[in-house]
Parts: sequence; C-alpha cells; structure tokens
Amino acid sequence: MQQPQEIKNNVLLVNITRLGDMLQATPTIAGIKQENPNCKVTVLVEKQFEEVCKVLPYIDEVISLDLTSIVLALGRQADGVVEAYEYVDEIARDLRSRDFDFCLNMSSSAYTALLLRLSGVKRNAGWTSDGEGNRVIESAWSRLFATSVFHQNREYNSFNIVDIFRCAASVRKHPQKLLMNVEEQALNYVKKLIEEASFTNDGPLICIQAGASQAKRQWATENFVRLIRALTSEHNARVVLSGSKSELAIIGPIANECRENVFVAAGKTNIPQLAALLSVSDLLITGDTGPMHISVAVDTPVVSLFLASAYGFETGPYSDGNIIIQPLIGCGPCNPNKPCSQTDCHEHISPELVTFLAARRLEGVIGKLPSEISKGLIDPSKVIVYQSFFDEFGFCDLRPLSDDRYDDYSYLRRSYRRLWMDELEGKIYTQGNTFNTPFTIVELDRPLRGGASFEEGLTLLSDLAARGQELIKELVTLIENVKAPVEALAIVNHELSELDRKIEQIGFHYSNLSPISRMFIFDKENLGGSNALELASQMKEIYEALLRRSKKFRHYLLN
Amino acid sequence: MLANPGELINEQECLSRGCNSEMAKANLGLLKERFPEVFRLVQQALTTIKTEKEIIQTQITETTDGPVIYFKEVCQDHATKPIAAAKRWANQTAAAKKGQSRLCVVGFGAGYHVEALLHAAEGLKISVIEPSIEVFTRAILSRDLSCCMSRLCSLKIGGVDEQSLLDEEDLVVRPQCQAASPDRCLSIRSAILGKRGLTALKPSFAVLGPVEGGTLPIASYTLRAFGLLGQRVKDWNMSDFAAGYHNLDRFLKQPHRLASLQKQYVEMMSNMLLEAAEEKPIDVLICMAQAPISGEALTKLRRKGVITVLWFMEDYLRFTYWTEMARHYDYVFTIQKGACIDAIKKAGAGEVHYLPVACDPQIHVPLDLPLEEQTRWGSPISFVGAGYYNRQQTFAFMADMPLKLWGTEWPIGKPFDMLVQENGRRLLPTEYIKIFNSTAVNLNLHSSTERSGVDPSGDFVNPRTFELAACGAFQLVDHRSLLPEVFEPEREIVTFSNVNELKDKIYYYLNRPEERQVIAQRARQRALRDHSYQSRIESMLSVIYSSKYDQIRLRDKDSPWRRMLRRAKRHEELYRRCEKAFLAGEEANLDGLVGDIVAGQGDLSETEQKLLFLQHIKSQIMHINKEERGG
Repeated sequence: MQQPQEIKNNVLLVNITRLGDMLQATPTIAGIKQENPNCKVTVLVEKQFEEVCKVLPYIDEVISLDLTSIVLALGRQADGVVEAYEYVDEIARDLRSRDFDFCLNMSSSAYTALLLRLSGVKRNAGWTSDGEGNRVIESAWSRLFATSVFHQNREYNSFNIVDIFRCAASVRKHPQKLLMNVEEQALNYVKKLIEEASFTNDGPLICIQAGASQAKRQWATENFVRLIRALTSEHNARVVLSGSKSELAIIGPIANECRENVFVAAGKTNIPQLAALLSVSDLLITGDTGPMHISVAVDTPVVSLFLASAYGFETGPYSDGNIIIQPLIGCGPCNPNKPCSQTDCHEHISPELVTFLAARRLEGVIGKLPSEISKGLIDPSKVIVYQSFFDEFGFCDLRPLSDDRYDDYSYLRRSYRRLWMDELEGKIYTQGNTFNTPFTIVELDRPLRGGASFEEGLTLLSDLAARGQELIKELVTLIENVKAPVEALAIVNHELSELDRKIEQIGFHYSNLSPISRMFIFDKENLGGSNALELASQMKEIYEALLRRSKKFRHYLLN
Repeated sequence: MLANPGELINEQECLSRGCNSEMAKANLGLLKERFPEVFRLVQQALTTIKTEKEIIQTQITETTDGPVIYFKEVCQDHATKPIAAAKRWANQTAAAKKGQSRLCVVGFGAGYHVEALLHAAEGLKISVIEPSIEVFTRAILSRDLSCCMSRLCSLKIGGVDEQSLLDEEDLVVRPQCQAASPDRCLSIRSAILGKRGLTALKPSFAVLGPVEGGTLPIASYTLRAFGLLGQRVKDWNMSDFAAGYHNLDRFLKQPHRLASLQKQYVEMMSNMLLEAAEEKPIDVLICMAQAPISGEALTKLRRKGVITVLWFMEDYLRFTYWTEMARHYDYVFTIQKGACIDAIKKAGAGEVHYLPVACDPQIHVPLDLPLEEQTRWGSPISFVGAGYYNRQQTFAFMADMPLKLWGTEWPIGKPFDMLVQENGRRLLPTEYIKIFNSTAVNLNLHSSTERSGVDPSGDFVNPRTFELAACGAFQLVDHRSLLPEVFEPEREIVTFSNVNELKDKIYYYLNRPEERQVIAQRARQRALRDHSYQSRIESMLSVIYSSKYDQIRLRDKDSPWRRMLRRAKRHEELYRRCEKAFLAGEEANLDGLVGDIVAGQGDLSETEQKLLFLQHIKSQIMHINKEERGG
C-alpha cells in the first residue's frame, strides 16, 4: 500500500557519483518542495558535481564529499589513512549537526549506507546500514529497485528509477520531467560557439553525444560517421559533437571522417554550457548518458540508443515524447559490471534507423511506426523502438512504436507493473495489458525451465505463504506462553528458515516469479526491532503480502 | 703533573703516589659523597692491587694536555691531544643528541670527554658506565675529576643490569672502550639495549623458512616465538613451492640442466620475496637454514636497510653453502662454537653467535594417548629420524630388540624391513610427538655420513634432544661436546658413547620406569626453563638490538606506522586499533586496520563504521578504475 506522506522540514538527498543521477533526482526534489513548501533540501554529492547542483532548481544547500581526496589520502597509506578518517569524521559530524528529519539515499553503494548510519538520520528511504553494518533498505520502492536491478530481474521492471526514488521518498506531486536551469551567460557562450562553427547547412541543429561511460556502450565510429553524413547531406542538419575533453579520443576520429557541417564542441563546454548548448539544439542523439538527462531537463527531445547494459525502461529519458531504441538480444541488458568482448547488440541498430527516427522526431511525428515505412530498417526480432510517455498515474513508461511481439518479457513486465502499482501505491490501472496480445491460460501453463509451469510456481508460492502464516501463529502462541519449552521455539524458527529458503528457491526455479520471491527476501531482511511479538507481527505481514502478491500476479497475468 | 710527558710510570708507584696526593684525596672524597658504591669498588681495587700485585693492564702516559690512560694497550683517550679531541667529540655528540634529556656514556678513560660533554651539553643529564675498575681507579688518581664527580647523574663500574638505564636514556659507547673491552661493552649493550629493544623497538620481522626439510617446522616454532615475545612478524612460508621445485626433476634428468633450473627457481622465489618486501616492507629478515633466497636478493634488501640474519642450524662442515652466503648476512647464528664461528666470520658475516636449537612448549608436550594410538605409535624402543649411515650401522645391530624406526631414507632390505614403520614415510611433528610419548626408551643418535656409530667429535645438539625433553619423554642420546651446556648428563639426560653402551643402557632403563620418569621430568623442566624457542629468540634479539638499536630506532622513527600512530593519537579508539594492527604485524594502511571488522557480527562502533566506509570507497574506486581500464 502507498506509504503515508509525512511532513518533511529538513531533507537530505544523497546522490554521490553520477551527473545523470543528480538530474534524475530533480523531480523528487521539486516534488518535496511542492508538497512541503518550507522544507529545506540539502544534497550530498561528490565534489566534482558541486558546481552542477547550482544550476539545479530547489536545492537549498550542497554538501560535497571529496572522494578523490579520500582515495589519494588512502593511497598515501600511513598518516594518510588517519587524514581520510578525520575527513569522514568531520563529514559525519557535520551531517549529524544538521539534524535532518528525512533522508533519501539514491545511491546503492555500501559507503553511502554507512555514512547515513553515521549521520544519525532517523527516517530514511533507500539504502542505509544497521548498527552491525548490514544493508538496510527502508522503503518498499527501494526494495523493488534492488529486486529489479541486483537480481537479474531487470527485464520484469518497467518503472523508471526517477519514479522509483520519488515514490521511495513518498513524493506524489512532481513536474513529470527533469529540471535544470539554463544560465544566460552560458547561453551567450554557446551561441558564440555555434557561430564559430561556420555551418553551411541551415537545417536543424542536432547534438550528438558519441562518448559513453563504458566501452561496451560505445557505438562504433563508422556508425556515427554514417549517421552524421546522412543527417548533414539528406536532412540539411548542422551537427554538434558534444562531450568532455577526455572523450575527444572518441570524437576526433568521427569528426575527421565528416568535416562538413560538423562542429566539435567536446572539451569546450562545462556542464551549464552543455545544458545551454542542448537547450538551443533541436535534438540530441545519444546513448544512455548524462547529457541525455540534461537534454530532457532543458526540453530538447532525444533519440537514445540503449546498448549493452543500458535498459530504457529503467533509466530512459524522463519526459514525454523521446525515442528509445532498445536492441533485443538474449544477453541484454547485460550486467553493467562485466566487460563485453563481442558487442553484438550494437549491430542490431543501424545508422539508417537512427537517421530515420531522428528525422521523424524532428518533424514532430511520434507514434506507431507503420511497417511499410520501417521495413528494412527494423528487424522486430532484433530491435524495438519505444516512445517515452506518462501513464494515467503520472509514472513514466515506454510505449512500443515498432512491432514488439518478439519481446518475451513484455507481457510479464506489464503484469508486474500493475502488481507493484497496486501493491505499493494502491493504484489499479484501468487500461490493462494493452500493448500487445495477452497471454492465455494455456500459455500460462506452458513449460518453463525444468518443465515447470507458472501455475505450478504460483501455487507453490501461495502454499508456502500460507504455511508461513500458520507457523507465525504457532510462534506467537509459544512466545506468549512463558512456560513453552525453548526447544519448541527453536523448531518453529528452524521451520521458518527452511520455508524461507524454499521461497527463495522458487525464484530461482521459476525465474519469472523471481521478483515476487526476491521482494519477500528483502522484506524479511529488513525486519526491525527486538521485541519478539513485534517481529512476529511484521513477519506475519510479510507472509500475507507474499500470498496476496502471488494471487494478484496471477490475476494480472490473466486479465 | 705526575711525570714528564711520554714517561711511563710504574703502576705500584703511581698508585702509592696517587693515593697520597691532595688531588686524589679530593677526588675520592667527592666520589665517596656522590657515588659511595663506586667508592667502595675503588677502595677494594686499591687494596687488591697493592697487596696481591696482580698483573695490571693499565698504563699512564703524559701528554701536553695531561695524563692519558692505556688499557690493554688501547689508549682510552686521545693519545696526544686529549682535551682538543674530547671537545670535538663532545660538540658532535651534543649536536647529535640535541633534544634528548639523558645520555649514558660507556667508557670513562681519564674523563676528558665526559668533562667536555658536560660543558658542551649543559642541559643534558649524563651518566657514565666504565667497564673497567682499573681504568677508573687510574683516572681517580691521575686527574682532578671534581667537575665530573659533582655533575654526573650516575656512575657505574663494570657490568650493568637492565635497569641501569632509564627508558628515555640514550647510550653512547666510546670506540676506545669498545676496542679494549669488547665483551664488556657487548654485554652492557646487550643488557641495556638488547632488553630495552624488546619492548621499545617494534621492527617488522619476516621469518623465511626453507622450502622443505627438518628446518621447516622449526621456522614455524620460531615464528610463534616472535609472536609470544610481542614482536611484529610475517610468515614467509615457502613450503608451497616445494612441489614446483621437485617437479623440475620430472622433466630434467641431466644434473647440470637440473641445477641450472633449480638455481633459476630460487632466483624466482628471491625476486618474489623482494617484491613482497617492496609491497609490505620489513626491517629484519630472519632466514632459517636452507632459506631459498639468493645473495643478490639479500644484498638488495640490505641496501634498503633491511637487517639480514641467518640461523644456520646445520653442521658447518657438512653443509658448506655458508662460504658463499655468509657475507650477505649481518648476523649468523650457529649451533656450533669455536672453529665454526671463526670460519663463518672469516667468510664475511657481520656478527656470528652461538645459538642452539630448542623446543616449542606448545607443540612438544606430554600426551596421554588412548590405547589404540599407543599401539600404533608406541614401542619399548623407538627412533625417529632419517636413515643416515651411522644410524643404519648402529640400528642394524639392534634388530633383535623391540625397536621401531620411523622416518625416511632407510634401506629397504633386512633387517630394516622389520624395523621401519609405515613404509618410511615423512612424519608430521604432531605424529612424532605421539611416538616420543608412547615409547619407553627413545633413541637419539645424531646423524653422521662418515662415522659408523657415535661421532666422537660431535659437538652441536640436535632439535630432537630438546623436543624429547620437552615432551617429558625418556631418551638416550649420544655424547656431544656441547650437550653438558644444555642438559646435565646422567641427571637430566642419559648419554652413550658407543653401541655397546647404548645397548647396556637400553636394557638397564627398560626395566626401570621410575628412574626413566625422574630423569625425563628433570629434562622437561630444564627444557621449559632454558630451552624454548622463545628464549632463543630473546637471545637473538638481544644480540641484534644491542648492536643495531640506533639503526632500528631511526628507521622506526619515521616509519609509516609511527607517522600513522602519531596522527591517530587524538582519536582514542582509532589509536587503539592502529596499535593493535601494528603489533599484529599488519601494514600501515587501511586494509591493516579493517581486517577484523566484520559486518553482521555485533554492533560496530562509530570508528569501525568510519573505517568500513573508507574501505567501501576504496573498493568502489578500485572497481571503477578497473572498469575504466576495460574490466
């Protein structure tokens, strides 16, 4: 059920290491301000993002964490370690002294969890740590995020992380877009920069962000070259190659191959200037990058390629009307922490398709791609084109513009979306599974891994949940009976442990049910308190939720 | 002036004249008042010298500055210009010891340099130890020492105990004194700095064991002893490399190829150790016999200021690799005396000292074995060890006795097929202790590849002697010249000199369990009291600290750990954690501090949480860097 909204007066948002993450926090920050006009919002960021925060609206104060200094000090060893310790000590004291009444940690790192523990904030959402250093995830939405991201359940998730964290902070009102201010000074700078470009074309100004955070997300140079040549020659486009100084190694070879009407802005802009550049552009073509989020924040549409580990539903552009190209491949979206020596997913997207989609978006045509037009450009078994939009509850979603019948997960994703919206927000979609053909009960019974079926898995989950409830009843009786033998308590506890292990194993065996079993595990991990009856009561609710979710999921699959 | 410059004075005359002079009277008066114990010693010396006419080893000569004292033909002051030389020395010493409050000078001579130092270093509290009463008596009678007598903080003559020096007091040994009384000076340094070093210094040791062989378990006992003494020690255990070393001869049969590859294998291990020392620096390397490290690697370590030590627990006449390796070591400790020490010194070792092997009271213990185990391991008579020539010859004559032979390298044929146990496999220390404990009469015959029985010139005592003793097991051991120093023959240990005597004693003691037990218990008590590896390492450290105290202290002063501890001082818990990690031999880095912090095992303190926070940051950044390098 939806978490009750509590008044927030002094909020800390922790969002340490990525530019994109900072921008993705802006709807939550704006929502907090909208719902709590007097609330002070402080953000804790890595030092290099301190400046960026100045152009993000609604932030009252920025605390920066100098990770580089910490790492350098640790690298010096000896007294350097104490220096780093003293720095942490200082930061922890500072945070404690501010007496925050709520904290949302949007980072899932172990160190931010510990820092929040040290900062002594009582009410948290997202990752924190208990007194023993164990991970604690204090809101159901954050647990859903953990369920989706960390346990190979990504394909079942269709919630954008902006909404996930917004809901984790119990923020309902929000601007349905990312936010960033464009400074006048920066705007003047980029206008001059564009003048220097001496474009001979006079068509749309298209920004291309060729660099990516990881090599496996880096679309090939020749693809960019073909794309740019097509845009400049066929669509009269003026192309600006954005990026940082360090990305010049990627951008240089591209620019060298297409000299006409291409301007290299990489290395010439800081973040506010990049925002200004994107604000005067007509379109950004990019991977899943920080500039993609900036573009969305300054209202410039994007055509984005979600390669390798990037997954459009999760981190896609958070505003209406952007184009997302997602390759369909057995290994994708892959683990962000693993390298890839054979980036086959890159081959699923042709420069011609990107040119075609860019041209359509520039013309303002967004909608289903007629097969006669997209034929030859889109192989539905290899790629799906989506459009971002906001659903009836104001949650960002992706609508397929191309044929998505080869996406095995589509129907499950829809069903899970409805389940979690119902469970965590108490909202029931009126539209149902509308995007493609619904499953039939026959399909529900089709064999999955090891010959198992959905029906079988769901029945098992329900049975185990019911057994869990019975055991909790026994446990409560034993706890209340002061004369109950200790051995009897131990037996029930042992049975409960065994039961939980079986529930977890169902998630492995019936992998499509993994999000439900994993949510159960996270719920169990986050039991709080030391009173036995109180703990038993919490456990009872968790088994009830498991039973309820199993039933609801079956319902949403069939309806 | 007692005489003209350069004139030698008759000792007796000097003493007579001196005692009666006003100057000497004044000196003696002051001495009596300030240092009555020394006064008594001087009085005794004067009486002894006068009455017994002992050979006196001191002489006085006159210089333009005054009299100087010769002791054992070494001038204890500057031979011609004692005042000027003393001033120079005093100024240099005062500058070097600036900032310190106390200094102890070993060597008084005629007192010129002490006087000069009292002037040069006004605030410094100075004490003096003069090893020779003769020298000091000469000085009292020769010069006006009122300045010294009135301003010295303390004065000691002869030897000193470990309490002689205050903890913060620095020690300077005058080279003249060192030359004339090397043993006394060494014992003073050893008594003071050797003992003090055990608590005041915390260098990082590494114990490098052999790849395999009998010394391997001794390396682990040594390691434990360092730990028990509160020293910081790393285990450079190389035994896992044995398989690789042996695999070479699976592929190579020609000796010259095999030898070449074996040398390269040792070089590879040496390079690895050099890298290990680079990554986790050490201050002192203790190499056990057969340690796989090249001379070149030892030289490189010494260039980095590492003190190199070899505990050469082998017969120097049989294993001669020391001829090449000795020069690479600052210290060599041997299990033999006399010619062995001289030879190794001559081969270039810095210092060579006798240090016999010992027992490990945690391993070598009396056991009460169940019947089943007693049947397997026990016997009326046993011997544990390799089948060396003299042992084969000796035990072949005992095939009619209830004897079990354990260990490797025994012949396959008769009579050994009936005597050798469990196919002559190599035994673990835990196994041979069971044998010791379930045998009535343990035989201990030191190995010889040349003699057929007991080696009449055998000197050193093998580890088995101490191990059997510590187990409280009765043993018959062949006579060794160094044995009486460690166990009292026939009271604490029973010896034999030939096979017939051995047989006689076996028969005798087999029928006298009570006598066996009494002797074995005495041996155990002696072993525990005097012959543990802990006491051996204490002796070893005493030697090292006494001569390298300043070097180690200087190296330690600005070591990473000292810097870390200094800075951590203001954070009580962090400081405690640093100290704990330091003493545990961890490195002065974050890993060293967080090694024992485990999530989910009880509440973490704030300090622990902060350290874990840092550790997580470090891991994450390393992960990101790895990612940026392309996984």
